[in-house]
Amino acid sequence: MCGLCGLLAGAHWTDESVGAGGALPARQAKLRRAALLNDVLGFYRLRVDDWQGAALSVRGPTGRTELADSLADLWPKAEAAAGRTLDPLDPDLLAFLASREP
Amino acid sequence: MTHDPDSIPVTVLTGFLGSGKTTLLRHLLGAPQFADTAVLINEFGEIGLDHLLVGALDDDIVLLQSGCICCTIRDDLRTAIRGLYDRRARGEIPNFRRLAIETTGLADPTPVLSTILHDPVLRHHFHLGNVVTTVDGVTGLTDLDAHPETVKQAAIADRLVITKRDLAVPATVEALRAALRRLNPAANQLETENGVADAELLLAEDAVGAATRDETVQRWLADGGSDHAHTAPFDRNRHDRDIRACCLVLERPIAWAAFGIWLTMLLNRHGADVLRLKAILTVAGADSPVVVQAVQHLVYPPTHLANWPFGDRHSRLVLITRGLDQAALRLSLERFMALGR
Repeated sequence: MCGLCGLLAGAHWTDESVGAGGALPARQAKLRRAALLNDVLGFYRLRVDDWQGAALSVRGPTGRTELADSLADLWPKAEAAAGRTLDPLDPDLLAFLASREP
Repeated sequence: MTHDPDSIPVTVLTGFLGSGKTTLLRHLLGAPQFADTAVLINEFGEIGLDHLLVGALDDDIVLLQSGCICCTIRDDLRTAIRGLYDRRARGEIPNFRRLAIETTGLADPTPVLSTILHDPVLRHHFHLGNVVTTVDGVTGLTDLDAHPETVKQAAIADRLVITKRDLAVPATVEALRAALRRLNPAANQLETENGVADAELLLAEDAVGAATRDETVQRWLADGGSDHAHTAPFDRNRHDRDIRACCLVLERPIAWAAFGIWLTMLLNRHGADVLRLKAILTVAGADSPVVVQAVQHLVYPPTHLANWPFGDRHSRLVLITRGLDQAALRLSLERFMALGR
């Protein structure tokens, strides 16, 4: 059981259907989320893919791949794949994101 | 996401030793709003509770994988609540419609919240109501200085009850009120004399009760028009000198996926230092505002409001953090919300 999950079964709080009321079809929402994740995780040379709509796979620079049940579950797995901590307050990450803004 | 109408609200009553938790609870149990309330308490103190549905807890806790105190499941609490629910279903005890849990004054109350939010059975039948924290009107400032757990108890509160106003010097109460406002600007403050408090206000469920949530959410964020509004440090406690509250405002609608990415990443790395988050968000694609709350790693199920409580439709977040750089938080939120634009 993952202590970081807001919910253990059914919809996770981060699912599009919870916050945006299903404005996007579920499959499309998950693909879009994976694309946004890759905008962030590219900084760490990580790659995320939606895994059959049921999970997220994250692959590190060494090829190490982890599966995560939810977005909350993703971060410890991504840190394991990257071999480092991932900090959204890291100035270098924020500069990287700024450089990608149109 | 909305709660099942049959879901039972859980009011968590916490506060330091001798701050008046049990006196307040005894008073509340006599109020009509608290009729049909079951009560679980950690320790039977000197003040007896004459109530039909009082149970005791011991301290059997299970530490979850993350190892953070806020992610512990209290096995004793889980067992006690499930037991109450089963007995209620079998008709062995009255059909209680509210559960009040009085925590021990010496402990961090977040495992109580974690248990209710995480347990796969409990969360289908119960939801978190308010966290009510008592603060001693006479010794509260000293307690905040000397006992880090009191700072935590106050930081996660939805309602801060300053007790013993009748015994305290007015200037002391005023200073305590100001200190608590700096520490937790989103909590509603009440004061008691002889243990008497406004039961209605204590119970009104922020962002959950349909009748009150628009008003209470507006109050959370009433001072949040500027992102500089609450960046003054709460400096009472030598151990938690760097606890700060800040309000962040976003003018453009946010992408729900981007917000989920930002908050889960933030809580994974800094959850232990995000003591409280309350947010009302304008989400692209949603036709009503969304309320998100968190206590450390714990995220409450988001709820939707009927209307925007302010004249504008800006998203507002109140964050009470420990040791986190406020400017970096604001910049981080802005950068992540720009994803995909």
